[in-house]
Amino acid sequence: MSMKINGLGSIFSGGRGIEAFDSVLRHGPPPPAYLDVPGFSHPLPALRVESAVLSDREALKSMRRADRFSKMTLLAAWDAWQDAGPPAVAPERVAAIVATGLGPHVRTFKFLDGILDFGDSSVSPTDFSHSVHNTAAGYITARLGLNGPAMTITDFNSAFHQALVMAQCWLAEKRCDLVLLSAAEELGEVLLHVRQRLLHRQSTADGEEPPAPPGEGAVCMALSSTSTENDYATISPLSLATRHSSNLEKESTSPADLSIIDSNCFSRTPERRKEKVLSPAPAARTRDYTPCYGSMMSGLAWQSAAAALSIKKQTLYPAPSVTDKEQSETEKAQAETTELREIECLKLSENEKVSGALVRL
Amino acid sequence: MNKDLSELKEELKAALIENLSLEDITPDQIDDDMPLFGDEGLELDSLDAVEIVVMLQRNYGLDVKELQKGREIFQSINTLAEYVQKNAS
Repeated sequence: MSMKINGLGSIFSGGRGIEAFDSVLRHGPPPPAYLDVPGFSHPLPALRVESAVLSDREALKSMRRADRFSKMTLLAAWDAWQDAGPPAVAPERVAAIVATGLGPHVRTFKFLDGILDFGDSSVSPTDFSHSVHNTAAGYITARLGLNGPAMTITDFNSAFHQALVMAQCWLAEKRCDLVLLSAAEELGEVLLHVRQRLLHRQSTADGEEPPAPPGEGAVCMALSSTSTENDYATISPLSLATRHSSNLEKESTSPADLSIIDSNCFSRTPERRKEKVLSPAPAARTRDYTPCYGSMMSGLAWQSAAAALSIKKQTLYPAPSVTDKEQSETEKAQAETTELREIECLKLSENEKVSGALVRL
Repeated sequence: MNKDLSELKEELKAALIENLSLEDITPDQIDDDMPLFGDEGLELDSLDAVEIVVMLQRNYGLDVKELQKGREIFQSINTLAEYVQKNAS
């Protein structure tokens, strides 16, 4: 069953809103920030959401205790909800799912540090309650007044894929009529530290170029089985395969018009695996938009949103430049209007696991 | 505690803003006698009260366990500062 994407919302280093996302896909990513991370002598590049982008008095009402993770997730869901109508669906028929690799890990580690520093009798109750992964989903349902099922799926490799399957099941079972499916990641010292250590280790093994800087943000899709005038595209999960892409079962037999590949947050070797995955049935065109918003564990959600936007606008966005050199407007590749009916989005992870989504007109 | 009372009040205001995530409030907007709880003043709630207890434990080694005592201490910055100055080592 394909789900209709009735609305989209996003917040990332390039700004808030789908128009900001469209702009970065067309013109390239903003320059990274350089963050100090304990254990490293030099600042590390990262695509971070500006604090000013997180200030919205109306949407974030009664959320002063919320952390960046919950605020970003809420804002993306809020915008997707508005973008979709807001839909005329009973509150108990709207579900919320959040997919994430590490969840609110900054708050979780703050809570754990509190125990180490002050003992378990002096931990912050707010840090405790917000270190729970489902907090962001709770904020979405509370702020939008929704009473349907709400859950968070946390997985390093395939959180968004699993969330897509869950949304598909809930809609097919008629447990709800609309799903606000969000994916969110937050930058933090722990993530940056682990990532840099892993990259350093891989660097000595193969010497390939590093992937895009890590990013943070949230993207949300309002999904239903009902068509609306605002629909972007349809989406369905691609079967999860392990080892080789020959096991990848696609719903259609013809090659997609475009393959969008997501680089793994913790890998330095996306090119090699890209070739391996695509080799059995090479698509006419491939793109990796990861440099536009940064490498994230739930990057498949961003690639899927880019695919939905490409299909709605019938636009092939250019491959983002990964060079550090400033390019003039004439040097930059341009977005082109073209017919796009089907885009496959593939996430390549460690140990050759593949998860994906199929986005169609 | 040897710290000057006015200095202690400013320290407590900054700690409240940070620990309670009081967005858009600056220390100079908190009057020394402004009610911390209730329908006037800062309008803090019960979870904030627990956060203040934790903050007193962490920053000053003070343990506020009795509810009635907490009500008296947490009335305003004035009462909070007086309690800290009198009891913190």
